[in-house]
Amino acid sequence: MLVVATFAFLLVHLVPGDPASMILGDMATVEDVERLREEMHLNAPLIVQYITWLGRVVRGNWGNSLYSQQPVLAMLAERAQPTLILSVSSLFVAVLLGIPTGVLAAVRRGTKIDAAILSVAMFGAAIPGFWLGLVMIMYIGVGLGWLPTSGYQPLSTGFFNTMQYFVLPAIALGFPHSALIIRVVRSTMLDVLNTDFVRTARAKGLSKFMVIGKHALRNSLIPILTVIGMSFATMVAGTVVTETVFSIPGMGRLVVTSVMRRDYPVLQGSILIVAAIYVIVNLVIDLLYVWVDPRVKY
Amino acid sequence: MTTLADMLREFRKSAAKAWRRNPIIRIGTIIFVVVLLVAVLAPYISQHDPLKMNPLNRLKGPSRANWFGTDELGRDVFSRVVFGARTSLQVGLSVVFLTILMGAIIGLLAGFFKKLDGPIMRIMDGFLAMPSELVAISLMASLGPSVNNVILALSIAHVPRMARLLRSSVLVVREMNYVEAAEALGVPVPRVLLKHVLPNCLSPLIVQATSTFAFAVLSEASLSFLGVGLPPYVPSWGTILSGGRQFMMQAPWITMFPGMSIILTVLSLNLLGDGLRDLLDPKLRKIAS
Repeated sequence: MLVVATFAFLLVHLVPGDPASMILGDMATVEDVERLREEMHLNAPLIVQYITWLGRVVRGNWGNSLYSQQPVLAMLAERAQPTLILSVSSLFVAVLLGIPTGVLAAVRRGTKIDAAILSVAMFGAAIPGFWLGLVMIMYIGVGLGWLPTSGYQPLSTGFFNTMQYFVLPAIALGFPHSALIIRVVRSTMLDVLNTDFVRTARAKGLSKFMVIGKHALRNSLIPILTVIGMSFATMVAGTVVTETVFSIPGMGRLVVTSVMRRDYPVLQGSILIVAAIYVIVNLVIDLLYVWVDPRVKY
Repeated sequence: MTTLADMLREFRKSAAKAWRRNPIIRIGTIIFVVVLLVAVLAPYISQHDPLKMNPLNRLKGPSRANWFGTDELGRDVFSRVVFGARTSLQVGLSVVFLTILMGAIIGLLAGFFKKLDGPIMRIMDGFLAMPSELVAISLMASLGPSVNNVILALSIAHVPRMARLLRSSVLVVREMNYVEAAEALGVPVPRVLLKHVLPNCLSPLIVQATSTFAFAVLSEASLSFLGVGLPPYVPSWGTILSGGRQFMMQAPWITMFPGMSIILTVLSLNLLGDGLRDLLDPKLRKIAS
């Protein structure tokens, strides 16, 4: 996390150009710029600036937006909801599509079904999510008029009302990842299906469903969890593009607008938050390993 | 002991074999070579100047004169897609080159010298704690849009992964007898690294290179699409998509063709990477079949 924070800090300070003169614009006099530099402690040595900045971040003072003067933390909090809904529902799409199809491919290995699933997965992994989003907006959203193509209604307006805005974005973000999940599920399932205990379970006369669901799938969950965790973490970052395509006012959109406006405090804040989510997701996945496989000890 | 020349000879032999036996590699290579040819021969293939605007002829559908139609400024979409292949591959190749170069240096140092390992890898882990797209976006924010900056930003975003991978293979190779023998013979360390360690770490590196390439093409497109990548006048698949987005309803062809080009390129690279992995890693070959 410290490296992330350092990166976020240096990002602003390695930028060519002076933040103070950027805020004040072209009309500012030299004295004005100097006064603001003093106010922003820009004249202090880099290391001193760094430590004061870090201290403020830890205490929850993330500065104000250079553009709207709102506190960064409040801006981020306001936009967290759509981003969270989007990432969770995309994960849902990816897992729901990925695991059963992957299992099916493994069970029907070598058949036409397997080949078809694998080629779709290969293709799916190559599709840029934002392009898929655009095409869906074009044909499903506008062409068929089934679903809204942009915008967002907060959860307080009702669950289904909100979710209809997220169907297309979640597919756009989730589908390419389900391709990845399919491949991992298939290959680990193939490994597990060849083990002795699966053969024993079959020999005991357990139903096919029990063998696959309980014995095989459960034992291949660790690599699957790893890839799901990685997917989720990438999805959080992927919201940046997806939210732009579907005009969802979330944190990802905020990243893009703050880049455009050169609004560095907001950008720093968003990077910190996304990286924090990333780290937390990885931690949760590690903890889930223990739950899935009691043999794993830390 | 395997030298680079041996490796290459071996590689050529197995590549020829793979070409005959492995349809995945065959398809991947063919598509990729086609895209590469299109990129190299761009000026000969396109009938129009990709930058020339023709306001009278804007947002026209695909026709014999403009195979992929025209965009909002009357530019020929086919020419732009063809020249876009050039930009995308240029970005992809440069990113792969820089990533391998920097990743190899960092990975070799970290893997070979135990003292450097800790500090270097902690920094790399820090970078890995951030999604690479976000690293690239934030770097672009401070660097400003241009082709070189996109290349730089994407390389920095991907180096940690490459370095980490190389370090783990170096850790294994370092313990090999031939490395010890070379050191005992008094071969200077840089030579040991380059001639004895690096060639034996190549196969995961090559596989990683294809996926970095695919990532680079995808990320360049999404960065440019967001408007933080290449400047809009440079024809690239991302910039065409970004421009075509507003006219999606009247002129879907602006969006469709660059998107399909991206899919085709990334698909070919993924196939190639998959095929190479099967080829270079006999352990994985069993699982995949």
